[in-house]
Amino acid sequence: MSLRLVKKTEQLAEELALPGPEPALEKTIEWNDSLFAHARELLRHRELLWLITQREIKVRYKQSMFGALWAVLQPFSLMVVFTVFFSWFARMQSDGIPYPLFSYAALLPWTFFSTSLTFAIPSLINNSHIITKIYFPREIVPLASILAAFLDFVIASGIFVLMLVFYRVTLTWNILYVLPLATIQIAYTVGICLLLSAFTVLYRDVRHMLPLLIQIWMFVTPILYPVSVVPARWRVWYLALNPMAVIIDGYRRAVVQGLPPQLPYLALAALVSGLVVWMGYIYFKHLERDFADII
Amino acid sequence: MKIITVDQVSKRYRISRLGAKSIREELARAGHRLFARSASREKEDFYALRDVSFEVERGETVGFIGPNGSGKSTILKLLARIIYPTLGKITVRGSVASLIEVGAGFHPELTGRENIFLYGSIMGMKRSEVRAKFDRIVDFAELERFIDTPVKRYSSGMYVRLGFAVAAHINPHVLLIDEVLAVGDASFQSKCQQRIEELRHNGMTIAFVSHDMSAVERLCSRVFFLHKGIIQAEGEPHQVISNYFSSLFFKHDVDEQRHRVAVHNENDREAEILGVRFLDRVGAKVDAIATGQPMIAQIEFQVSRSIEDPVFELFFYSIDDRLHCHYTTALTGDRIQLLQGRGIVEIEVDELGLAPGTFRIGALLQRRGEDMPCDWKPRQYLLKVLPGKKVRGMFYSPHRWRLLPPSETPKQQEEQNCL
Ligand SMILES: Nc1ncnc2c1ncn2[C@@H]1O[C@H](COP(=O)(O)OP(=O)(O)OP(=O)(O)O)[C@@H](O)[C@H]1O
Ligand SMILES: [Mg+2]
Repeated sequence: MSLRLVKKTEQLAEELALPGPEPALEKTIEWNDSLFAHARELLRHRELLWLITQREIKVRYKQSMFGALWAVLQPFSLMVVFTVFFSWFARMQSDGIPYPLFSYAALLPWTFFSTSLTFAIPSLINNSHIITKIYFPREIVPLASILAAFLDFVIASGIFVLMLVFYRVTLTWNILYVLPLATIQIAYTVGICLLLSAFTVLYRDVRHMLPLLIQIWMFVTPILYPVSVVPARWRVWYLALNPMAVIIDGYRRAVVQGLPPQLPYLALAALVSGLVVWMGYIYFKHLERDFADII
Repeated sequence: MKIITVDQVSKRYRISRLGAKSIREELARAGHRLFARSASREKEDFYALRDVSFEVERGETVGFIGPNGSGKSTILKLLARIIYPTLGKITVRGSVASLIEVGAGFHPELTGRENIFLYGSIMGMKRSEVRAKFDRIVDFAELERFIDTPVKRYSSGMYVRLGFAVAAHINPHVLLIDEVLAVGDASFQSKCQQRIEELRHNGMTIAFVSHDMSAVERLCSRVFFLHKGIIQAEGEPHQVISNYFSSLFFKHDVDEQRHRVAVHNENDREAEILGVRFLDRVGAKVDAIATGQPMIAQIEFQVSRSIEDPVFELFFYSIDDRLHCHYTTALTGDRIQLLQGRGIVEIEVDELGLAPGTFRIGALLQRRGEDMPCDWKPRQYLLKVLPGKKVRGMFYSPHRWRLLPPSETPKQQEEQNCL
């Protein structure tokens, strides 16, 4: 009888697996700690980031017929429509590149950007049920949306590789510019999404403005048309004010045309992106403490 | 070692800031504020908590009680870092798992299995750690059949089962439980309480919010009574709970009493019960009596007109408002007559039968055979029953055991025993 009891207690202790008698209790970080501490906290939660990304993907494509095929379908169908209407009917110039290739090279990173915004900006509101019930670094929620969009981007790039082969594009070493371009784009996207997703918690207007914003942004970015159609005297402002213009144009030059991006503008875009992501994170962390109260 | 330190914490809400606004509303308000004086801003403020300070030692189980909207959930949310204090400082040394209201933060679209992993990950556990505990969690929640169903198809009881099972198996340093157990069925509730006891004994720190006072009294080592965002009382569970009840029911009972008296107005207050008190064996006034001890209760009254053949009654209600015991002179007392003036009736019980706990006492005075009482104090007085004679079950009753000598044992039975 007593023997069984002992065993049960042992089993219980093992089952509980509590830290020893004097456990090293880590002190959790404070809200007003430095950005560096927040970033470290985020890093500690990277497994959660990955899990929430998986969830985002699963939920997004659950009960949809084509599933992950949508990732390809969206830029691809736009490419087809653009080719028919802008190239065949409207005779839009494309710097001598076949128009499907020309537009898909831009639509691919653009879709990554617009999908990120579409899902990341309302993400906090859509996840209010966890935000009001449990603590974790809140930036994980918009970041997971961006990460999911990035995976779509990678999948949709597969078609692009086929197109490069089909059109017999000769690649140069300049294609390596894709890496810094993608880095700058991700930083810029993260910054914008942090800023606007936090802002959406305060003001729901953003949600209604978002589709319009993305549409306008698409037209002021060289996706349908080459940068060369922008009048020369406006071109400086056109590229300086919109980092996405430099980035999209940069992809096209580096991969399809075999040219380096416009480096001075790219440097400026890098600077702006760095600033946006830094300020976005500060602003986000500043508002974060009130999320659960007002969401 | 102090695992939780809450230092002069206040939580303020702006009434007008409730929920998100549109920019247009905001502009209108800003314009309005330009003209209004700053005093109007003060009026908008609402304190869900006001200057709250306390500390919790490692391994303690503390309870928070209080009426609706008194700030109990707010405290737990602050401890869980879901919300941030307006003023003051909160330190929690260690990991925290929270079960705040129904729904532990599950995602409705995902299955129970996926949610367990998600929750574990939010709690900072590795996938392999969650996997190691997975079976035990599912087993505890008794949801084997539904573990691959999206939780949006769960009933609210199932939701809570899963939530509690996860939170109670991931071994945080601090476990916060808010009002969730009430949704589960009786068997699950008792299972949860058992689990909480286990966790307690193994040194986990637990903060517990509930309106189920018997659970609070049983589980907690210390209780805080909150009212309007202020800690009204703190300390030993029984005391704080009776404090809470007297504050809660005093108002209620006064209302009830006023109603009764109003109905009975034509009698013009012919009698009034002034008080009930309890005495021990030697006649000293006491607040607490142990089970199995003698009890003397006295009802003091005042009569303005003499009453022929009155009946006195005494009611013992448990804190969850069940009538446990009732004494009436209609049954046992002799015929008496009350003359004008003050008086005392006394009831003597040789061995108190009530099980340990807190009881609220009602007293009644009426004419025999009449429906309307002359006076009626519904649950005004308190008596604590201490553990005395060991009671398992609902009550103790005086008794004797005896082993029968062989000569008194019937022959027939002996034969049967041999077979
Ligand atoms: N986000 C919020 N914005 C404004 N007021 C809030 C918010 N959250 C809570 N409150 C207010 O704070 C007060 C305390 O709420 P709390 O949820 O802590 O009460 P409680 O003690 O848990 O009550 P109950 O017993 O009903 O659960 C309430 O008056 C509530 O209206
Ligand atoms: Mg509550």
